[in-house]
Amino acid sequence: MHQYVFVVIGVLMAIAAVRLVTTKNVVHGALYLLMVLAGAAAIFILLLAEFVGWVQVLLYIGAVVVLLLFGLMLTRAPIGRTALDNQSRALAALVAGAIFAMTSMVLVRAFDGQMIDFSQTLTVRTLGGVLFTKYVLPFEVVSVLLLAALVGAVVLAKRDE
Amino acid sequence: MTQDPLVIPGVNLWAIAPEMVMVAGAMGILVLGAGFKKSHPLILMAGALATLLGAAIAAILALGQGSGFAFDGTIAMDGFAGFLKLVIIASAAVSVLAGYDYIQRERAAAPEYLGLLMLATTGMMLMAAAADLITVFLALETFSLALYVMAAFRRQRLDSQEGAFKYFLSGSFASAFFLYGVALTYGGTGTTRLEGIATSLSEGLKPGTEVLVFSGLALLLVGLAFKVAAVPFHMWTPDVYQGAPAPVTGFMAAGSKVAGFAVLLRALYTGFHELVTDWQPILIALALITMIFGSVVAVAQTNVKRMLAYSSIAHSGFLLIGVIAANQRGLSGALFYLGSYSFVIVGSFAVIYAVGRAGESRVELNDYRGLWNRQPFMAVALAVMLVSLAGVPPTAGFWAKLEVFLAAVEAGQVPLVVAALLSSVVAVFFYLRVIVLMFLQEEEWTKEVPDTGATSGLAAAVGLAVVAVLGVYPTPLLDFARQASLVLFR
Amino acid sequence: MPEGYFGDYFTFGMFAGLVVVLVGGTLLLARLVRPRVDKDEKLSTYECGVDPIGGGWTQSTVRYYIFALLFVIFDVEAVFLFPWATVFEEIGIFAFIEMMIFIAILGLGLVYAWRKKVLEWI
Repeated sequence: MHQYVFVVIGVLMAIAAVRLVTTKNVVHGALYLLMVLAGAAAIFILLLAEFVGWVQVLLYIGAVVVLLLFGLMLTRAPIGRTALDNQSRALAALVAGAIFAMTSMVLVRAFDGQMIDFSQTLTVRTLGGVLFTKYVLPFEVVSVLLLAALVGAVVLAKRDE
Repeated sequence: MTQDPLVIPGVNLWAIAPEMVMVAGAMGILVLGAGFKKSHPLILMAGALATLLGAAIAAILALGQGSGFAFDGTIAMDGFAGFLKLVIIASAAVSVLAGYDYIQRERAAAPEYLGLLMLATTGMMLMAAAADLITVFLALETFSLALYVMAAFRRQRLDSQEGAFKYFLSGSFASAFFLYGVALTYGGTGTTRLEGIATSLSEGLKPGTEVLVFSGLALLLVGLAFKVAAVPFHMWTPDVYQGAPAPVTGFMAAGSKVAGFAVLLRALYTGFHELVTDWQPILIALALITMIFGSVVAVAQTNVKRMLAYSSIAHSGFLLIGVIAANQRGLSGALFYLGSYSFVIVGSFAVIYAVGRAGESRVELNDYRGLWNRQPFMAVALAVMLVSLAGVPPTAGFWAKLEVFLAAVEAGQVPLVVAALLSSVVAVFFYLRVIVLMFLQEEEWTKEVPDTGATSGLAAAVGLAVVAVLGVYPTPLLDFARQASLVLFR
Repeated sequence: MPEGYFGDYFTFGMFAGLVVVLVGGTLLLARLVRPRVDKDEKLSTYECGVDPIGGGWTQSTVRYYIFALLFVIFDVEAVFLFPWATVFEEIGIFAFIEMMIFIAILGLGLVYAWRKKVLEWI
C-alpha cells in the first residue's frame, strides 16, 4: 500500500518538477514548485517524519512560496512569453541528469533491500528531546543566521532616505 | 518505551565565549546604530573594535581552559580553534579600520556594515571550532549570508549587483551540495559529529554504506572548495572581488579562506582521517589545477582587484598542499599560512581602496603608474605585501610557503611541490609588474591632491608591520601554530 | 477503518476527497444548469464602466518583500516552539533559557527593523 501511494506522489512530483522548468510563465512555475513541495511534505509524512512534513507545509508552502511570489511581483518583467532562458538548456539537463543518476545509484546501492519499520513513528517529543539537548548549539546558531538574513534583507530592500 | 532523561551534555560557555561577545556587540551596534538619525560612524567603529577586542580576550582566556569538546561534541575548544579565531578576529578588526574610510566617503550604512561584518565573524569563528557537520553548515550559512549582502553593498551599481548575485546563486548551490554531503555522511556513519565519524570509520562500515560516506565526503569537499575558491569551483571569485567594495573584498578573501580551511583541516585530519589515501589524490588534483590556473590567469588581468582574485585562487592551491601533507607540519604550516595571508590580503585591499578613491574608479593597472610619487606610503605598503604574496624572502609569505612545501616534501609529495614552485615563479611576474609600475613608471596625467583615508593607511600599516615582523622573526607565530596543531594529532 | 498513524491520515484523506467531490460536484452542477451567453462583454473585466487598459502586471513595491521575509523568519521561529513545548517540562530551566536566548536574538532583530522604520507603511 505504501509503495503505491509513494509511486503516485512521486510521479505527480516528477511531472510538476518537469513542468516547473519548462513552463514559460514564471508564476505558473512558482505554483508548480508549490506542488513539488506539497509532494515532498506528503512523502515525509509517508516516511513517518510527521513533524518535518508539516513543517514543510508551514514553512515552504506557507511562507517560502509566498516570498517567491512577492519576489516575482517585484520584477519589472511582464509575465510569460519572454524567454527567461539562456542557451545552456542541454548542458543543464545533462548535469542534472548526471547528478540524478549518481545520487540514485548511491542510494540504491546503500539501502537496497532495507525496509522501514512502520510501527515506530517519530514523535515531536523525540525530536524536541534531541534538538534541545544534543543539538542546542546549532539551534542557537539558527537565530544568529536568521538575524543576519533579517539585517541583510533590510539593508538591500530599504529605500535611501 | 523508556527514554533517557533529558540533560544537556557538556555545557561549557568558554567554548563559545568569543562568539557570544561578538553577537552581543553586533546586536548592540545594530539596534543602537539604527536609532540615530545620522549615526556617528566613529562611535560605532569604536564599539565594533571594542567588541572585537573583547572577543579576542575571550578567545585567549578560553585557550587557558584546556582542550576538549563542549555541547555534546558539537564544538571543540582547543588551540586549533583558538588560533584561527584570533586570526579571524584580527582580520575583522583590520577590515573595520579599512571599512571606516569606505563608510565615510560613500555614505554607506555604518551600523549594517559593522553589524554584518561582526555576524560574519561569528559564523567564521564557529567554523573554526565546529566539530559537528550540522554546526559547520549553519556557521557556513551565517557568514555566507552576511557576505552576500556585504558584496552587494553598493546596490545601485551594476558590477556590485552582478557580483553579489553570482556569489549568492553559486553559493546557494555550494551550500546545497554541502548539506547533501552531510546527509549522505550521516546515512553512512549514523552521526554528524566528527569524533563519531572517525570512530565509525575506524571500526569499519557496514557493507554497502561505504559508497554513502565516499559520495558524502566528495560533496562536502565540493561545498568547501567553493568557499575557498579552488578550481573548478572558483567561477564567482573574480566578479565578486571586483564588484564588492575593496574593504569587504579583503575581509571576504581572508575570512572565507580561514573558515573554509579550518573545516577542511579539522574534518580531514580528524573525522575522515581513516580515508586519507582516498581524499589525498582528489585534493592533489584540485591543488594542481588551482595553483596553476590561478597563477597563469592572473598574468592576463589588467584590473588589480581581479588580479588579486586569481592570486587568491592560486593561494588556495598552495594552502591545499598543506592539507594534502596530512602531517603535523602541514597543519601548522597551513595555520601559519592562513595567519599571514589574512593580514596581507586585508591590508592590500585597504591600499586598493585608498588608491581607488571614492567609488573605486581607479582599479586598473595603469592607475598604479607612478603611485610612489602620489602616495608613497601606500606604494611601499602595497609593494611589501605583494612581495609577501609572491613568497619572496624575507617576508611572512616566504615562511608560510616554506613550511607548507617542506611538509609536503616530508609527506613524499615532491612532484606537487615542484609544480607549486613553478606556479610561484609565474606568480612573481604579475606581482612584480605592479611594483614596477608603482615605482619605476612616471605617471602620465597631472598630479592630483592625494586623498588617502586615515584608517585605510592604518589598515595598510598593520598589514605591512605584520609582514615585516613575521618576515624577520616568524618564530613566535610558528610556535603558536605548532602548539595549536598538536590537538589534532593525539 | 484503519487505526493508528496511517489510519488518521486515511481519515484525513477521505475528508480531502470529500471536499474535492463536493466542490467539484457543485461546480459541475452549476455548469449543467446555468444559461450560457457567449458575448465579448461577458468576458471583459467590467461589463459596464471604464474599459481596462494596459497589462495586468504591475511592479509591486519592495515593502511587501520585507514583510514577506519577516514573516518567513518569524515562521521559522514559531516552528521551533512546537518541539520545545513538548520537552519543556523535562528539561526544565535550561530549555527556558535556550528558547529565551533564541527569541531575544530575533526579538532584537525585530527592534532593529522597527527602528529602521521598515515596519511603517507610508
